[in-house]
Amino acid sequence: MSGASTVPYVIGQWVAGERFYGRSGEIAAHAGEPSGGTRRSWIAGLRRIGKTSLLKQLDHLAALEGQFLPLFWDLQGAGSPEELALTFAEALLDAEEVLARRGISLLAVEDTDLAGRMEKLARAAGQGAVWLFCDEADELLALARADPGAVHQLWEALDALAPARLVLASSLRLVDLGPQSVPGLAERFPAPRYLGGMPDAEARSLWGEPAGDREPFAAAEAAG
Amino acid sequence: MRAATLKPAILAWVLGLAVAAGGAYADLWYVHYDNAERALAKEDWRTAVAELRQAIERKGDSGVRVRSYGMRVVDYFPYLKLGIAYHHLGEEAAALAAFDTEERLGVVAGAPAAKRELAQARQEAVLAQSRPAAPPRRDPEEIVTQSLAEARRLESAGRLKEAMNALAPGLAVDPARRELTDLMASLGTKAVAAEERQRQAEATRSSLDKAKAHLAAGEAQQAASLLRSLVAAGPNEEAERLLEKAQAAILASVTAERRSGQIAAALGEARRLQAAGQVPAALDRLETVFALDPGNGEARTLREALLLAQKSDHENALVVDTLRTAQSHLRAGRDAEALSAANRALALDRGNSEALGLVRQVYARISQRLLGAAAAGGASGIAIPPAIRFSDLRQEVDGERVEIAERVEFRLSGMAIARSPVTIAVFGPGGRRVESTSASQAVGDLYLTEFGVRHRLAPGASTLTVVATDRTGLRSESRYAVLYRRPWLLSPWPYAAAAGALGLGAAGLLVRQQRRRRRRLARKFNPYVAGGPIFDERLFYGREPLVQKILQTVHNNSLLLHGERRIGKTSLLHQVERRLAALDDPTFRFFPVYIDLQGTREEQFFATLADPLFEAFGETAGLGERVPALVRGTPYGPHDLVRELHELLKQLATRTAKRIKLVLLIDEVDELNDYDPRVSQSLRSLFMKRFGENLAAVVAGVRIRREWDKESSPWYNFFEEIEVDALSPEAAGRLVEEPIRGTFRFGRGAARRIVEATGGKPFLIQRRCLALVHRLHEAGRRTITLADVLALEREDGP
Repeated sequence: MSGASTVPYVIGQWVAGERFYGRSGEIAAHAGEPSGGTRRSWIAGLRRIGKTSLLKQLDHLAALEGQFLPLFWDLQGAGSPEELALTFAEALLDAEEVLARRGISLLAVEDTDLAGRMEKLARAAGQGAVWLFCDEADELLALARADPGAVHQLWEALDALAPARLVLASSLRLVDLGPQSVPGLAERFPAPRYLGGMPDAEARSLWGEPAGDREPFAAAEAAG
Repeated sequence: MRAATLKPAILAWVLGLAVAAGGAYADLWYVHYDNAERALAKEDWRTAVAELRQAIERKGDSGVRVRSYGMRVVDYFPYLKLGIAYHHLGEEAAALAAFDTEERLGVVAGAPAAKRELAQARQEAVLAQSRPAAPPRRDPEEIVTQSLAEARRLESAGRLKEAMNALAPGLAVDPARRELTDLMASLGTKAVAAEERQRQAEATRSSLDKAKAHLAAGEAQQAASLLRSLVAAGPNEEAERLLEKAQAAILASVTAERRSGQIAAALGEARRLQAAGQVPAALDRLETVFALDPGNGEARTLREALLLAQKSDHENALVVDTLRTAQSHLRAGRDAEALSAANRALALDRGNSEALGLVRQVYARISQRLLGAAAAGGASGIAIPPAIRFSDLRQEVDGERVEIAERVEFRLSGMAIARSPVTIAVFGPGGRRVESTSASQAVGDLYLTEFGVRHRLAPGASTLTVVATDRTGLRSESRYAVLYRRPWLLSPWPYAAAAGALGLGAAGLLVRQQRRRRRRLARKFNPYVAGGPIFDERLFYGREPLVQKILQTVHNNSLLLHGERRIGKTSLLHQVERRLAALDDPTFRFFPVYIDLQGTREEQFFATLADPLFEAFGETAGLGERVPALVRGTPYGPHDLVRELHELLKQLATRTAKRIKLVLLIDEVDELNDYDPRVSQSLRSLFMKRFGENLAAVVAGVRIRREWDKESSPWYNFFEEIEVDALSPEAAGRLVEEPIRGTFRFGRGAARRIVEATGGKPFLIQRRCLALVHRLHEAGRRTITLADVLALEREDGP
């Protein structure tokens, strides 16, 4: 049987690369050059507004640019120190191809805990070589509840990794509760940039495209 | 058909052919592979690379227990060995590319020792590559200086080709250095001139011998033509003397009164031969004119034009020959010689694009070797010949791998893995070109070129040879043996019998239908299915619009099918699985798998997801034996699934040039609502990973929509929702009537009443019709009446 015509829009899954539309202002804000040390930023917005897709696009652009090693870390489910370490191991596994391109094998960054993995990654990639994108940062609330010390260990591990860029994405819940509930969050991150709907012109470029044989494209509201 | 069923005579014939085919290239791939293994053992890495590339050129597919000569079999992993050699030469990027190629060929996954060797070698290469970049092995300026000095020394000794070879390292590290380029151009011109002088000297000797032979045979024209060229090339007393003799012979053959006619005829004939491209014959014919009228202006003009064409043909042939030499050096890893030959070709034909391409390629390779990581564009110098992988249905028949074909129309497909798109050429028996199709797609640093061939088989054994050539000219070839034993029915004579039987058949058809009906009645035929899902597409009615909607959406989205119990969601999932597996999509290759969560305990959830995936596609992915997670006796959680899924998707991606999409068709997904919410979060996080692009889910449930529409749900707005509703009256009517057509009948109003009473719900229709057919069997009737339907309603309720 030959292929049926396909629906080009993407509604639930994240999008990046050719399928990503708009958000040029946000990309410029979060991808600007760090002025020494780690540049940290925080994206906050409603569910399904497109936070994950924005992070994935930043990750994609960094990989294309090639100077830095982008790492996408999905914190969903990381409500305990053990789960936190496991989700980071999964992030490394997910980036296997990116790591391999820089000659880093998964074995070289394998360790029993989070701090060990981050230290090895820093050694293998070089300090200031990693761009880290942390999605579903609301999990920090659960982590802080379960083990406040684990949040401190996370900050220390991140200091050891010393990523050139660290972008956090969360819902507005973390904005409301984080400064009080997650120790060190307010000190380490600037005020979040709120991610809203697309500007009119960008939205028009998305839905105004003919759907014909073009590669699939999607609303940046695709995934949160 | 199994090998054991082959008639011994055919088997012997096949093996004879196979052995003969093997003998035809007995000095080829395995000799080079054997040489390479010896070189590896002696740590002669350069020789190993050259030999392996020769082996790959002749056999570009890996294999376990491949027959080499006699009854000897070898494990053939040329890309693995090539990678090892490159690693020891410090060319880690090339080594890793070779390892990737071997892995993508897939055979190594089934050979534990080779797999371990590959993993170990890859790790070493990765470690070596991750070490801080070594300083350039040598200073480029030093290389240039030495290169120039050596080239000048050799030039002064008259060793021009060697001087050109010596310039290669200098040009490779600094291609724009004027001293180098000027010297290379000058050497190229001199070398070509020297070659030409040598060729002329040999040609003079040869032409004199031939002219004497022509004279002795009375062929004065041919002799005179050759001798005139020699005289024109320079003083040559012997040639002059012989030319006079030849001309005298020509004159003697023509009477005085016929001279003018002879001159006109010879000129006309020479022009005709010129137009036909027969330059030497035209020159021969002109000799009659020169003998009769040495000052004939027309003949002189024509001769000059003919000599010009002859020179151009000669130079073109020389360029082609020199380029062939350069390619041969390049394939054998003799870079300096390849560069020298390419520059000689450029001296003959400035701007020749093939020669320029070769020069660029050699520069990259030499500079990579000399300067290591410091070489600009070093990766472009990676020279891994294309690898060929078949969709392999061959089986081993007495040591030979042969596919046993049962149909005359044979389809062979596979893919070539290379550093650039490749051109595919396929040759059938007797070297005849077979039409093929191919399409390339970049996958990471590699290109996968999928190819397909349709070939009409002759009875007996055939071999198809696939030749893949990449953009740099690296090539490899692989052979695929197939045995077609023509079924008895396809022999010519049964057609005559069939024609005779046609008339009888038509008469028999009616009888057959009646018998079929009787048989069906006798065995209590009842096609309706109540209680289980419908697997038979012939009994799957009225859902085509839904199926189409799913097939059009699943490329980029996950879907949620919701609807009341028994509405047909499970049957729909099974049909979608079947259709996706058969879908010939231009962009995606789908890997659908049905997973039933009914009764799944929370702690078994991820194992229940994983096991069907690996059962369905583990072998396709070449992952080898896997103990199902559900029987391991150890917990299996989301992180285990992530690791295994990552590997599965990675391997599946190597099996096709298309993008892959693993479609999880998850039934009874309501079970998720009874689990800890973190299970859903973990499941959703699969789709957030990089490999989430290769995943889609089509889930089916009853209450799920209500739960997942909440903003707090991980699945909030994740799925495209599709309601599975009752069948339309038209589709419901077909489901009622068509399964029993030809065996039973519906009386007036009976079918419509069933549709109305069931509201078009497929399960109720099936159950009602199942009972009605039972009733007919019991009563020995063939017509379902409205009274039957109403009676059943009274018993069952409407």
